[in-house]
Amino acid sequence: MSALLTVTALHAGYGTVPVLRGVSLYVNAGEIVAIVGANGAGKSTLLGAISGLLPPTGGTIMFRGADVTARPAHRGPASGMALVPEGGRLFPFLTVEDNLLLGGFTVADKAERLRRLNEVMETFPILGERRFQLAGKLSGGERQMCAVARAIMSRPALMMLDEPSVGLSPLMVERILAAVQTLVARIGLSVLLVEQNTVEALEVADRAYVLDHGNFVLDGPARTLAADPRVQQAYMGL
Amino acid sequence: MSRSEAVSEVPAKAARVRCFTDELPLLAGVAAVLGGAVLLMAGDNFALNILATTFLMAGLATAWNVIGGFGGQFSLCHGVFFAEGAYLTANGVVHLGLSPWLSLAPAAVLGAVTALAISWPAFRLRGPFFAIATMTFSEVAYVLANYFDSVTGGAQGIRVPYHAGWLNMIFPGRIAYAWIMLGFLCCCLAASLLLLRSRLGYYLQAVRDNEAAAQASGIDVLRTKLLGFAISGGLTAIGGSVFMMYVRVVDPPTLLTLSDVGVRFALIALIGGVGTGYGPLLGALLVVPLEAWLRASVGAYVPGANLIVLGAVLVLAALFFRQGLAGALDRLLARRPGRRGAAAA
Repeated sequence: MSALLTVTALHAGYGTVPVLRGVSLYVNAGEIVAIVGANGAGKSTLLGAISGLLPPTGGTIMFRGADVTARPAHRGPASGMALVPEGGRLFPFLTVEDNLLLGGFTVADKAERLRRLNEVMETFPILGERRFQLAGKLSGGERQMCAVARAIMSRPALMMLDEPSVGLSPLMVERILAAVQTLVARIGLSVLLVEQNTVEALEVADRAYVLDHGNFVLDGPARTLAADPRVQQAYMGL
Repeated sequence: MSRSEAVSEVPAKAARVRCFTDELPLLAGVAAVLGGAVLLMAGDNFALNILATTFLMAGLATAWNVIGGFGGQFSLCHGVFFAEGAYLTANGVVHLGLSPWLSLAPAAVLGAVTALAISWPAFRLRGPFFAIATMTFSEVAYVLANYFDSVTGGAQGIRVPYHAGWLNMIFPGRIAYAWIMLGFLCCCLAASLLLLRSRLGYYLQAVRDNEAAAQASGIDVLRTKLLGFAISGGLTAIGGSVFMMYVRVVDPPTLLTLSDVGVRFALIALIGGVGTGYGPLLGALLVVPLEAWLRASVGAYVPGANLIVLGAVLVLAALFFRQGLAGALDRLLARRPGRRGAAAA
């Protein structure tokens, strides 16, 4: 069986500074895959390159059997790939509802969009309550939920989450990751999760990769990695 | 529970999303009130002139707001599209003997095409740098307008001879111009509200708020900005056409002076509430009559003092109405129970 997403020998960087030096990974359907690593390891660069926001300088990205290496970022959602950027990156001067709708414009059918809107507001009741508030006035946790919900509006096959835990209380982190797990179980989503919070990430993930200086230094089932003394010492503070 | 069941389970209470038809009652009400004002002023040419100018500036600020407000692209070159509309109409009448009515659609097309041509390179720049780039286009157009006197009449300007009649869009009384400007304003408001409730309107606002997130949400950023700019430019050019027939004589300073034209559209929209449907109209309703009144009262005693007072008012508005008059009105209405966001919609 071929994987949903296959990244082979990916190189990417900013200007003349290389960040990713030939990383390879795959995500199967229905899987949560975590990328963990320290600050500056290249985690966000990896998601930027896969989503097309940062054109890769080498390697290939295959998604659903098609080569998407050079595809511009705005084509992602229509093809089933949704990115939840770091910090949510909501549209602050639009209401929660408008933010959600903007995630769903990949479908032309208005009724279907509305159905999805109501569905995500049921999944995240707090967003239903805040429906007419400006997204810029949401709390950190609500913002992150809104960003996840916005991504879900396009019914992606793969959702990429960039550091959902940044700036959130541990309780909120757990709630958001639990919501992601629920979504995976309910709508058959795959998730590529980039996280600095290694403990939490390895708890929800099926498999994980450890990124260090633009290379994967370890990979395997999340549980095995969580028990690995090298990971524990370097990333989990144990 | 399967996924399709989860979808169909959505309860009937689920609210709907506001669409363009929801905006029509308010739009009709606004048009009726403004029309009533025209009827009230009938016979008073001074007041009718102010009304006509107010409606024209309101329409132009609404057109600017499409890209400047919804799209967040602070253009200062809208005078170029305005001048194009005016010159196209004048040349149609003077050289080809065409009815000005026939030039409205071509003017819109010309404005839209120029907007695309100008903004395509300019959109490589962002924020203040974009504004400066558009400013230079306006200045270049000013020089060109002075130079190509076969089209523009050069520094002497171009004049449309007086032949009154509906077909010629020239009238002895001022009231007809007030109606025409009101018509133009209503077209701009309708276009702006339609856009606001359409996919492109959402896209423009998303691009304004966060370009990277917009891209990640599947929005082609450059295409969205170009479309918004073209629509804005097209509407502005129509405004230039009706302005031409209103004044019947224009020269480059009238059409292309940055502070009197390009910046003014933006200023009125900012005072009224940038990025809101009715903000530019509110801004014009305040600024244009205030200007006329100050010129007649303060300016009559101390020449130039009217501009000082106007400047002070604008500074105060910028300080205390951060979200414009529309934002202030919205907050006022929000305080009363049962009302929500009527003005800013």
